[in-house]
Amino acid sequence: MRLGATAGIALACLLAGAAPAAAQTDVGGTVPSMIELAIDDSSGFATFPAGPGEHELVIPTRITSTANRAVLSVVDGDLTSGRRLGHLASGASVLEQPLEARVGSDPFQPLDVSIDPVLAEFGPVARERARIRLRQRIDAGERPRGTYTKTLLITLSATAP
Amino acid sequence: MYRSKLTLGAVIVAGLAAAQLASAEGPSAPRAAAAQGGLSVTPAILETTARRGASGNATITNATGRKLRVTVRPRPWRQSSSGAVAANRRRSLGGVRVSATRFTLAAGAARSVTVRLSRVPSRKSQYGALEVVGKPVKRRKGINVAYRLISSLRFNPTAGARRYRLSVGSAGTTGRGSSRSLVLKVRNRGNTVDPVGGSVSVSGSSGGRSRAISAVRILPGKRINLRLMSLSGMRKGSYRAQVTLTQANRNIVSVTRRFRIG
Repeated sequence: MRLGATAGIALACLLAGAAPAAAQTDVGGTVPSMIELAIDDSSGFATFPAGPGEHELVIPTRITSTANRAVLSVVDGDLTSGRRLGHLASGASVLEQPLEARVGSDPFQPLDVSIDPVLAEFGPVARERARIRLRQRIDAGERPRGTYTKTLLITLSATAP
Repeated sequence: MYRSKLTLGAVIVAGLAAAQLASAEGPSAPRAAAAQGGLSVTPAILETTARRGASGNATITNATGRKLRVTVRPRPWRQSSSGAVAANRRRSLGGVRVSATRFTLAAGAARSVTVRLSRVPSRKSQYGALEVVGKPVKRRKGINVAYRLISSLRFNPTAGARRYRLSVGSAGTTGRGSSRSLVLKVRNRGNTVDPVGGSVSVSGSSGGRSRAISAVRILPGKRINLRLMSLSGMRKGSYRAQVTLTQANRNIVSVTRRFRIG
């Protein structure tokens, strides 16, 4: 089916080439400014094994932006301030260490701050891939229990006021 | 006549081929394509003149393949001393209203919201961010990821009401080694966010250099450390910097400042 279609196009092009048309057309258009964020579904960090350690979770994203500069960051989607900001919680139990995030080989940045941590910067891009790596550290002597839940806002921001 | 028939034939063949290729992908193709998309907002910068009732439209498109619960909020910017801005999630932008603040957006759906300036501030302009948050309807255990898009809102003063005023403070250096830079404290006392640029000429006992200043937008009333130039490779000592700052193609202020590389 595909071969037949390709042959048909080739034939049509050959026929059209036998009698070339001398037409000139102006081609153009306007691209509206926009930003788009695509996030692949990721799940994890609901429970943790007993004992100290570091746990990581990868969130693949794709960025489209017409802005000269846009930044990718991660913020707590449940809270904007307080002791639990950026911390995984299960009922009254809150993990000691905050969630951390990074893109690429940059250092991890804690999510318990009121200023959005800048993880990556982009110029104008289309479907640029960025893998956000989340880390949760469990301290020695800490006993994670129950089921943890947290909404994280993956943020794509135009940076020019 | 002959030529037009040939052209028509080519169009039909190409169209049929495209249809066949599309059908070969199967009925699930549109869904798969939608699943590869994301949440978007157009335009990235909504800009209009600041008049009471002035408005613009932002279109929010959900190409994620999942139903999203969307909230739309106008937010004020916070600007750090480096000039970087971030939307302040704890506050709303005064005098700015959106036609819909909460709604559900089905997979593949789009919705336009109107952003309106209900009150013009005394400085005759208003600048802020439009925050669009899209959360999946179903919440589950563990990490739930959601979308947050920040676009820019600019209600510029009318041409006759534009004021360009900058006040400058002391000059200094930041960073070390090859990343050492000369910075100047600059406050925007005008009412626009037109980029502040200009030129700087540095001279001292161990040489000098001149550079153009990379333009930065400063929010009205805010003060930042404007980066004037790199000092990489310059020796220790005392220097004099002659700085001219421009905005909207006008020279706004010229100053001379002394600084040390120590």
